[in-house]
Amino acid sequence: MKPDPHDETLTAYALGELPAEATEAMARKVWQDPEAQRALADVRVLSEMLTAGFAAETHAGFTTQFDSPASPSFFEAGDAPAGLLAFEMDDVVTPAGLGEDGEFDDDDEKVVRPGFFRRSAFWLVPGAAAAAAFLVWMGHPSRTGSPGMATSEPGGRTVFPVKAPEPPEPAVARKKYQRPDPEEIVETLLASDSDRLKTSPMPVLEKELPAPPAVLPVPPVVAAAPPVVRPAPALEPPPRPTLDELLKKGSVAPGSVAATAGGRPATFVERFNHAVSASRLGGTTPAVFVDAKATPIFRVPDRADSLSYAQTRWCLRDFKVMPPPGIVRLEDMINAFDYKPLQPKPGTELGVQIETASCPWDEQHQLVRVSLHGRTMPVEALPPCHTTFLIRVVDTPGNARSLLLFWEGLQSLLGLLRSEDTVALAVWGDVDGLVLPPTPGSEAGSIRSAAEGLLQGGDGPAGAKGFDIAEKAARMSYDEQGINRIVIVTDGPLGAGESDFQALLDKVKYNAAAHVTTSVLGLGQARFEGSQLTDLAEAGRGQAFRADSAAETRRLFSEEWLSPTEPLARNLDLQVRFNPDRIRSVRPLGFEPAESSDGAAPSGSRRIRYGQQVTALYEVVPANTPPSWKDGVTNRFARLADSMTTIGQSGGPDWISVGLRYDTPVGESRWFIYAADLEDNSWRDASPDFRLSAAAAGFGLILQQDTATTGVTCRLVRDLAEPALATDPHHLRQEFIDMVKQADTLRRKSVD
Amino acid sequence: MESRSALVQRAVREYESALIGYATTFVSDLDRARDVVQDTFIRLYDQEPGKVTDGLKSWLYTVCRNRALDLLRREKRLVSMDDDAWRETRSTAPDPSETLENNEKRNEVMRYLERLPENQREVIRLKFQADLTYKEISDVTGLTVSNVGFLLHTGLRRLRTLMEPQLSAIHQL
Repeated sequence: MKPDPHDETLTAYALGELPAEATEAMARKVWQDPEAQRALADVRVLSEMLTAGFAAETHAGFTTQFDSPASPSFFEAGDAPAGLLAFEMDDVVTPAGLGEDGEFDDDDEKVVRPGFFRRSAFWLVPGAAAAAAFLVWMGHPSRTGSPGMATSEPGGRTVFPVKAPEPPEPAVARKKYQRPDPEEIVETLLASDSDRLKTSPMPVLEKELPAPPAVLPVPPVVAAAPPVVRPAPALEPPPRPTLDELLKKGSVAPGSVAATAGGRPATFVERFNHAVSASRLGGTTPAVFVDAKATPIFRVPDRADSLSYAQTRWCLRDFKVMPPPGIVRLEDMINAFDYKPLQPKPGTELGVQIETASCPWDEQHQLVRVSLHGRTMPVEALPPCHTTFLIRVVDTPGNARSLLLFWEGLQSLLGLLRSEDTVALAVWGDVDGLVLPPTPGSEAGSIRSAAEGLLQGGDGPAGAKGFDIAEKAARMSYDEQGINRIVIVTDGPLGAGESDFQALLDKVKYNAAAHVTTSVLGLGQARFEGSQLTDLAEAGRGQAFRADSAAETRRLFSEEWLSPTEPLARNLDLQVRFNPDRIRSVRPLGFEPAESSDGAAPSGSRRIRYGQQVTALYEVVPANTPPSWKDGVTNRFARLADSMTTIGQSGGPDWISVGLRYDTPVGESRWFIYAADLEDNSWRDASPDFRLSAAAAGFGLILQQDTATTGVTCRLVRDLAEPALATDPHHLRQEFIDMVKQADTLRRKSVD
Repeated sequence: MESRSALVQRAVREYESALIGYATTFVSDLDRARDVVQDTFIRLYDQEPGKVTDGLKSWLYTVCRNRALDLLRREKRLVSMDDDAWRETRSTAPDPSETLENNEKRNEVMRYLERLPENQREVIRLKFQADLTYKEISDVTGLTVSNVGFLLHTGLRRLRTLMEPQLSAIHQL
């Protein structure tokens, strides 16, 4: 049935007021009906206008006069309740600079006195101040960029600046990308990396490639089946080295740091430090021990960002320098690996594992590993997966590198796809177009050859923009029972052909409501403005990924890729509590401790998807080592109660308790409490996963130049990680060991 | 636990301006709107912080609304106690927002908004300024949820009709 555009339900849907099931039903209906879409768009435009219009109204209130920065401490001082007490207490409120008598000193000063407050204080404010505020608002630069805000033309008429028609693109902009020689990519990479060091804070790779050869070498057509969309026969690309080879070539030989960094490695570090401190990531503070009494509860967020790990690897692998200590984040190091998945008990979505053992770098201390696992879905139960990749292709070396990374990942994905899965490829950037319509996974050959032609750009209707093209492709393969996802693959910018980020967000939201999720994959050293990456993934009900090595892209495009994109659990709250009666102090290795235990929920999306893992490590100092510890009480993995009320109370028999709370996809809340005792375990007998996470944290401490931790050495880190190397499907662990070796060499050198 | 004074400070900081705007829906001039809002905050100070923290926004709008209606009653502007009666009464205020000196500069939609009946304007304000849900608007105004949905829908539909040329232009771009 078509939705009636004059129906209240449609308005409620537009305003997000319908319950989940009704929203889905309505989204499907609207999807089919242009008239309803128009009504929906109208309501959304009106919503924006109204929200902006109301936001622009500023009414000076009876306290506004004190809100100026000139008298900042007025309301903060003492316990007086926000000036309201002023007249209740029958007292004189005298901001700085006023006369004792409470009379007007002059018209500009704001005086408050009893009896006067109630009415007269107002007349000072509204006219001039509010008009001034309005004028400031009118001239504020943020207004011009935001859609739906009114601007005033010189004539005084008010207009809404909406997306202006884009001028026709000049013919030059539609040129095809010529695939450069891999050697040249490497050369340019090297050159641009040193360029990058010369510019701060956040350089962008804009260096032009040398002009491509007029005729591409080796033109014989090998592929039996030509790519589906492009009518012209594909040119066989020059022999493609593996990415690892490329990266190896791209690396600088040890000892040539001076050449890369212009002869001043120290300056490089300084510049790098500067660049990092200017970036979103910011610096980190070294982990410190905190009194278990002072901060009894630690909260574990739902994920760690992999950017810090990528930057660390970038320094060690590509530049052969120690990373600046400020960029190293312990939680990123620990969560850079996939650990052995733990299947939660039947009927539950998440499982928590607690493992304790002696601390490798200080045997007097204990290490506690808390890991959270999302249930994995058996391969046979996975629904069909339809992926539309929207890939940024522009003529820069940074982009060329990101495409190589994508290529590596796609190879791995092609090996996994079933015949019911499809892949579509679209490009945006220099040229927007569809490279490959949705193609079943059984035709891996055509997908591969189309992907090889990615660098040549795609064809599309004139004027069609990247995201619209991807959306059309996703519609072609739309499957009600399956996973429908658009993945924006980028080396930095997030426009996807849209005029601004907000326009993209709107489209992404619209698709998410109709069961086409949008995820973002940031490749290479991609940087994003503020929280754009996560905002976009959030709006698209998808995920935000990053990958900066072939191993990482391979890991990303593994079985987990085919798992449903819907979160397995929402509103996650994971709390770790140490019994202050038994543990003197705690040092969280990563994940800053919560500021207080007042029940404020942690930030972030607080969602866990299928197969997701989060691991946190704590180094604890037992208080007075009581007998029960040395007696070797075993871990107890127990679901103790259905409430978390015991969490946060002092005392109790357990050393560590972990409270887990989340909502299931159907909105049911679940609570679990897990408890564990410290054991007299040596780290040597601990599980490989425990040792690997300890190794990652230990390596992080070395890189952070943590002075409190003298016992951890590169040798120890390698010993710790050794057993975990037996299982290393994506070579991530080997990559880690290589980093440790590199750091060790560099440290020795600096000592020499 | 947030202290009483901290709660009031926060409430003043976050909601004062919006509440004054809301109060102008009823009392039409800014001075009296400020009185209403000031009264609201005084009442907030009398509350146990624990009891109001959760639904603070709804609480503020509800009390603000009741204060405004009280004021109208006191001033004998409202002859009947029947809420429907004043709903039918179109506001005679020339311009509820003195802060905007030049009417020309005002957001176009806000001008059209004034052509709507008061009850539709009120729910639109509660929805788009206070960002309340239908349920919360229903709590504040005492209307049923479906009534709120109907008023919002009717108000927005009226705005769509009034602004049809502008909206069409926007969609054609």
